[in-house]
Amino acid sequence: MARRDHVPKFATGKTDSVPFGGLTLHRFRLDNGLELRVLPDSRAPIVSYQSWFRVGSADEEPGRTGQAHFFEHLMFGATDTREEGELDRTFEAVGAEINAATWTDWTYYYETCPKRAWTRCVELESDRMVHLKLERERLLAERDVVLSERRSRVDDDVEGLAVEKLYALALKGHAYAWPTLGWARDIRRFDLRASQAFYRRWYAPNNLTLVVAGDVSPADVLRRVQKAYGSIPASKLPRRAARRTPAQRKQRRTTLSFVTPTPKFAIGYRAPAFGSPDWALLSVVCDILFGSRGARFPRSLVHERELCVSARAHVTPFRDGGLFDVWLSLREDVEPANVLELFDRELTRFLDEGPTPAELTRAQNSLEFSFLTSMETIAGKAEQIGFYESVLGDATRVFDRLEAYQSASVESVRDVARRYLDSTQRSVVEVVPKVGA
Amino acid sequence: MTHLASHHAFGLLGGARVLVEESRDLPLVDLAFGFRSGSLLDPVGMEGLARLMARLLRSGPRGSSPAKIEDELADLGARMSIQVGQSSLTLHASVLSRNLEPLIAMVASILLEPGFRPKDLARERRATLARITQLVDEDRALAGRHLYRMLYPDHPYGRGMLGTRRSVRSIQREHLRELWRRTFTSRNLVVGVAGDVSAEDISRMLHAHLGELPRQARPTVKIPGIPRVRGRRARVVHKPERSQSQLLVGTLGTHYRDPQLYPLMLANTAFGETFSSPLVDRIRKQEGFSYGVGSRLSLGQKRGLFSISSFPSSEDAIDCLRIELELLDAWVERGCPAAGLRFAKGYLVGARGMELDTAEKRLDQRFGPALAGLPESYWDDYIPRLRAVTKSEADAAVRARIRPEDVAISIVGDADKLVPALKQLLGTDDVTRHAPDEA
Repeated sequence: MARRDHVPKFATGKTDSVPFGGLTLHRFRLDNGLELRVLPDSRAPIVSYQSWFRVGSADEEPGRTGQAHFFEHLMFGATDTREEGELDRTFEAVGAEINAATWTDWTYYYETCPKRAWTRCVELESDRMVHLKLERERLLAERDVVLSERRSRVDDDVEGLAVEKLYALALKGHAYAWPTLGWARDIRRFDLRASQAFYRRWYAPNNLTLVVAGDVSPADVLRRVQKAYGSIPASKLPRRAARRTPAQRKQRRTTLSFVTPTPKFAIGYRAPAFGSPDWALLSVVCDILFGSRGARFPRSLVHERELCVSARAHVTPFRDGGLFDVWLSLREDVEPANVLELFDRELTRFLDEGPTPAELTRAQNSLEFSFLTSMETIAGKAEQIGFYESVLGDATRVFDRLEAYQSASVESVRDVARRYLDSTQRSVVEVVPKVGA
Repeated sequence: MTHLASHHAFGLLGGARVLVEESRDLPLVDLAFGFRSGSLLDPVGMEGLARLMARLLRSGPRGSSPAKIEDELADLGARMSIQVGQSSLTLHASVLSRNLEPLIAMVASILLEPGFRPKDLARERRATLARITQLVDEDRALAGRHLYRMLYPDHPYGRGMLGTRRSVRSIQREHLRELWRRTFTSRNLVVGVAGDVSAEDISRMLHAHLGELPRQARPTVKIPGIPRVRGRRARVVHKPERSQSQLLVGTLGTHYRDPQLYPLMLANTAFGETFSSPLVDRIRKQEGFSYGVGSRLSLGQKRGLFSISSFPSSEDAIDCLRIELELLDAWVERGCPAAGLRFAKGYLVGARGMELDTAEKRLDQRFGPALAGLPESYWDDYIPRLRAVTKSEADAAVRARIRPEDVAISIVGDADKLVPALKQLLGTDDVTRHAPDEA
């Protein structure tokens, strides 16, 4: 089965164009399977060039966790014809922004650069996709950097560590249970052979969506991309069906002892796949309960009862379904059990009564606002296209999502909350403060 | 074809300045109401006053309540925040353009008729004390706090904006009202507007809703000169449980009106601001010490900070520091290679050009200087001035402003190991240890 959930209607080697937020999105597929998306926008002399590979930590195996993220680091190294650091130097020399990111279902690389420099993106990105030099010394140095990143984001960070523990507990049995950064013991074991195999398997044109947005012409982009990438052979990608997390029948709980001044809770409810219509409705629920200072839980727990310093949540946008992920940071001298009890009481009231019409309208306004701000910059538009193509196979579904928010009703929001915010589907990590030296 | 949205500037309401960047790309408007005074107005012993006043403004005007103000904002689909800096207080708001005028009316009532209700003051004071407690978790902020105290002892720049437990408890309603009276005058105000609205419409709305802003003179803030603190010294915030340390190296840098500003900005970029710079190349790529590393110049009315930040593992902290100090010494002694400066020019000039794709970014280029009391055109000649800097000017600026012999070092980590090692490395006994909750 193809890894894509949705196949655009046009045939291989053909093209079409669709409206995209007042602009036109041009879609091409090369014969080797590379998907190209071009969004011309000449309002500023800037181009955003993004390479979205459909590989993330969900494609790893136990014992080799963190490989996708580690490989993202290695991709900034030397190639057969370019020295170590040349990629960064080339783009920084013209003031471009260059970086990359990895999560569960994708890895992407981006350059946002002046128009005059964008053709270098085609040269350098196609080069590192095929001719990356993988050497032992470089691998060892980068391994230390990744361990440093892990220490910074997780080992010394109470929220990072608690959330890592939460996903391991709540999504046990699915690849989403391990951290994208990888377990430290696995990072220490990264070797050259596995990295080479990973590169050959996943960094292939039939696993790539290339997004070029900004002051460009589609015909020129297609010609250059065809020339640079057209001869790269497709690889045999592993078949990946949607995976289900083993069913959860009762609440799961654990504790984390950490040097921190006050208790905390990381709470996760099983959430639907990003492509499910329920995902959009659960996002409306999330906004009503946590989306602003006036939303139910920040209002109650932070401002009125003064039990927490912060109360926030989000729904993870994972292809196979992630978590409705809540973070509560308590104040000093507050009894954690009381906070959880109050949390449950407030939630039960919401599940019984549903949102008020005013709450629903506010959430819809808020989500519309967030959607518009995500489309403000050229890089932001390119990111939306790349993300929706990589996870759902169609960039235009970003507008379906907005429509789904707008068409939500009090009843549909209440019903989805009842289905997902069920205590049997909950996992809780309680952070218990440990006294420092 | 490239087109940039039109920009406008006009005076308003007895001295306020309004800057507008019009753009019809999206149905959104960003607003910034900036007042040109901030935490430097906090009296000694009352640190945290400006921040607390900002939080009380957010609690809503007379006749309202925190819950009501949040509901009204949500009804409009608006976001609002109030940020306090040393020399500024800015209310930022963004809204769907169809709801712009009601938002301006709400902002006006917040600014003109603050409630400062005793109940809200007590609640915000407790929230601030809770925030001070939480700081213990934030290693980088802790390291920064101690660095400022070392470099700006007995100077307003060395005092935190959050305040201390003691200072926050001492703040009373009359202090808030007095600060509000001094700050919220039309002559102290710069309004920035970016997005889906015309200059004519925004002018009408501002006149209609903010016409009653008092017109007395701007508050004067006399910032004392910054004495040079001689010699190398260090502070260690003791957290033995950490697997890595937060490491900051700092010394005095430069200020907005310094003739050495452009040469120094260029030299700093060449030294440690980009991923390709010698500092990042050595610390991250060659040694693998730290995922994040970089150098930074912070600008102020008086000399701001020049700093190098990194977060090596506990075992590598001293080696990492030693190399950073060696690189700093070499930079000051030998200057930047000509190729490095050319590269830095390309980077800064190109990056400037990238600040064009949203109205908000374009507005910031004029709003920032105006808020800092500088000409709105302050950055207009940024590119020619950068391009004109020569290698000898850049090297001379580094020698004139950066003194490696006077650096302060702030580390969060295991003091039992770090204090003796630092004394040995720096050749000084001026290395002190501090508890994380030392406010």
